[in-house]
Amino acid sequence: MNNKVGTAIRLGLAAAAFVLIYLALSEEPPVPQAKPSETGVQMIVRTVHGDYWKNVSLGAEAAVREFGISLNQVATDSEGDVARQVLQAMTALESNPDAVVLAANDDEAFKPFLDEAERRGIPVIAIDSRLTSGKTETYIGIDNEAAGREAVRQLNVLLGERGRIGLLAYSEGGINGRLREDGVRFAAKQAAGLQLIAARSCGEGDCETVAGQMLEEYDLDGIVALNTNATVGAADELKRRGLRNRVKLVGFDSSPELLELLQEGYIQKLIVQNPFNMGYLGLQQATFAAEGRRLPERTEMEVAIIDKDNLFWLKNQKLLFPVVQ
Amino acid sequence: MMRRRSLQANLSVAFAVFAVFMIAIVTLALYGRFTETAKANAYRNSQQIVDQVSYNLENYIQGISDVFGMMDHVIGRSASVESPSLREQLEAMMSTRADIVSVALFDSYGHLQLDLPNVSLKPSLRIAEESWYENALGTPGHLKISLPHVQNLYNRQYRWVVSLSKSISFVKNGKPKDGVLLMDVNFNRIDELSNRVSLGKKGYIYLLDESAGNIVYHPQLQLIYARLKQENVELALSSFGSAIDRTGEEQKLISVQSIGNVGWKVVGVSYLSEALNTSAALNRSMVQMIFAILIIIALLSGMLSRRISRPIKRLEATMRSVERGEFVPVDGEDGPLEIKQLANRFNIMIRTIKRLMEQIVAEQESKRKHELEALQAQINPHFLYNTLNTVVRMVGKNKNEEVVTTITSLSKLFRISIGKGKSLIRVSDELEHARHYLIIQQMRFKNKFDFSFDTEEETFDYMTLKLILQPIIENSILHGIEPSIDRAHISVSSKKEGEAIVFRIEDNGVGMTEQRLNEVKAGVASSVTGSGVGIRNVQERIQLYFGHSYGLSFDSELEVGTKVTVRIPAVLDESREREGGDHE
Repeated sequence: MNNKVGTAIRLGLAAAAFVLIYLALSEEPPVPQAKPSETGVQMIVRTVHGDYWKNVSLGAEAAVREFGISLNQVATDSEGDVARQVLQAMTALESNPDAVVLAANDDEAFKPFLDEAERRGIPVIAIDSRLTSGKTETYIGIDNEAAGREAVRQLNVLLGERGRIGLLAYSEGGINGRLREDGVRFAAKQAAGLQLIAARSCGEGDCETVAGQMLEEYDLDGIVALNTNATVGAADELKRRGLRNRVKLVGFDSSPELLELLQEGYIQKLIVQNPFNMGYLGLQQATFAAEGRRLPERTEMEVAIIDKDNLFWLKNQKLLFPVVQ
Repeated sequence: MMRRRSLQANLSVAFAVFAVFMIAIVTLALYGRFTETAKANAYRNSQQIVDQVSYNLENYIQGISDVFGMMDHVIGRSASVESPSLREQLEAMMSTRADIVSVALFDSYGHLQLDLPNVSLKPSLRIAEESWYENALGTPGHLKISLPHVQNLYNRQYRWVVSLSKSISFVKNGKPKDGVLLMDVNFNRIDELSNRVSLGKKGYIYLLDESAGNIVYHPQLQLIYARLKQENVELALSSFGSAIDRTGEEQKLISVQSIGNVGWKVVGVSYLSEALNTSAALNRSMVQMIFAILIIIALLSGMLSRRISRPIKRLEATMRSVERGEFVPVDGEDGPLEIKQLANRFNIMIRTIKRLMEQIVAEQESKRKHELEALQAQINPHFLYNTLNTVVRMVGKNKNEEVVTTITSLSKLFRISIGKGKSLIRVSDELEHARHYLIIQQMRFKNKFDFSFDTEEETFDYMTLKLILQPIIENSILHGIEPSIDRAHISVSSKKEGEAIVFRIEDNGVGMTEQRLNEVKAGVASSVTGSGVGIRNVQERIQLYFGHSYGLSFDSELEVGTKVTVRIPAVLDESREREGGDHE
């Protein structure tokens, strides 16, 4: 009996040895490039539209190439469609990605998602918008509240520390919009010479109208517009009314349209984020989180203050015109 | 003491250790060679790719420089910059290349003289402040090629271009003028050429401006600007060919080649871990090979050592059964030669032991038999009958004193011969026994003979087999003295000669013929009369006890007498213990 077992073991070992030799001599490894180690990252962003999110994608793709990630991206059509984005996020969890990079449209609505991700042990990296309703590994993006304050500071300088200002927010601005507004209100209160006398919010397509109403109703020296749509709307309205340089405008984000208006003098300052780097860092941190590394609580990204003079500086060119065309 | 390991284990371990040692040496040597080769290959591949890119870019820049030179030439030769024919010529040149975005000529005050395509410039533009303009004026007659930048000439059009500018002379309205010719070339060709390059999966190339160290092109330029990524520009600037950059988290291989006509450097960055990937595959097969060899060696060494040790174990099992008393020969046929020889020797040994043991048993048996025979001889009824008859006769003749002597001797004779059941007795007792026997026989044969003892006291304490003298004396009386007519004499002596005790029984009776003597010596002579316990019994007993170097020797001459010599070893009393032990 014992002898039989011994013989069986020896035969097994001999077979194993021959298999090993075969494997060693075979040209193509039987398990080729299908790397199980490749990290699968799910990226959920706020919308498919706009240069901003395209640049986030570009940054993410740069990271994909560098870190060998398999990336899956989803986004909603509209930034306001919170329910749909939550649904997309929950669906994405079903495929059990190694990490999720999330730019959320709402904080509270994502609580169930964050709880579920935590239950499954999937790390969530918040980019663009900070989340407080649940557990996230880290936040990558600008301090929106500080950015709001910075906008007011810039306007204060432009106005010579005296003037009445208006605030044009975006109704679907999400978490960031609220934080920027908080920053603006706080800074306006702090600045002795500034009076925040009007605050409106506009939606898709009616920003120009709302800006016009604000200019009608109040005698404004300056306006802070909190996102691309609001800034374009306000600048267009100023252009239409021929108020170039008479009403100073500090806006957010960058697009060819905004840069044109900036050069034409209808916008004085643009507060610009670096979406490329945000996308890149989001995926980099996601890879680190999937590897189980500890991440810093937040990665603060700097904003660039762009005006007519520094627009074509070498450093800003790549930020403002990321795509070679 | 160290625990002993089995031969099998020792052999297996020795084989395995040797094999692992050899494999380790070979592996290390091969691994070193392979790694070196892989590294060299990586260096070469990387450098070749970078050289190729550099060559392509140089070619490309040469191409656009040529076009620029032609335009320069055409404008310089033209009678007027405003002539439509010049414009047509320039348009034709431009149409040959899709990558030329715009061509413009400015005078020394920055005023536009000529532009292609004819799209209005930005109103906010200040030509004199543009760097390409300043550069061109600063180095007259020299073609300047700018870093890639966003073209800032037209409204709502932000293209990445490389600007070629040169201060040239032209004629306007019949007057020669100085100005700057600008040609903007779309950067996407260079971008494509650089971006398409693959140096492994993660590797990439970037372009560096040699004079200022600015990065001209980088796939992740934004990350560099944000300082999220660093390039070792110093190393790239200072090195020619390939170098290893160890500053980052991962080791990188940097290959550099200059693009001569523009003053840029192509820097190829590839990750060493990736470049050595092929050697990783090689390592994998090597590791598999090593494991396979290890397994095979383990199997072989196990088999070999088992083949060696199995017959040894079988031998051991047989030995154990021999210990138990079963003499089974071992089968060493299927083992190696040494084992077979060992088994054969062992079998011979077993046979010898077996034979010896059987011999011992037989000897013991015959010892007892002879002793019994000797004893029986003493209580031979014939001898008793004769003796008692003699006594009766003596009583009849009132020879009381002689009766007493005879009976006393008889009783002592029996006491000594029965003894304590021991085979060995003291020499003095044996001599005493002989004396009493002689006394009885003297009485019986009516002084037909007399006897004398010549004994050394030194011999008395040695031990001897009992009942060895009496049969010889009996023989002497029966065959030597009784047939003799004369009164005879028997002498008995004991001597220590070296390590032996020697008894001599001499008579001057009829003696023996030579033939008879030889028969006696050969132990084949049979006695017609007597107790029946013959000389042979004595001889065999002595030789059984003490070996063949001891025993009887005879010397006889007809009508002169016979001399019998008994040699036994000089053994002292303590040997009685051993002898006693033998009896169990």
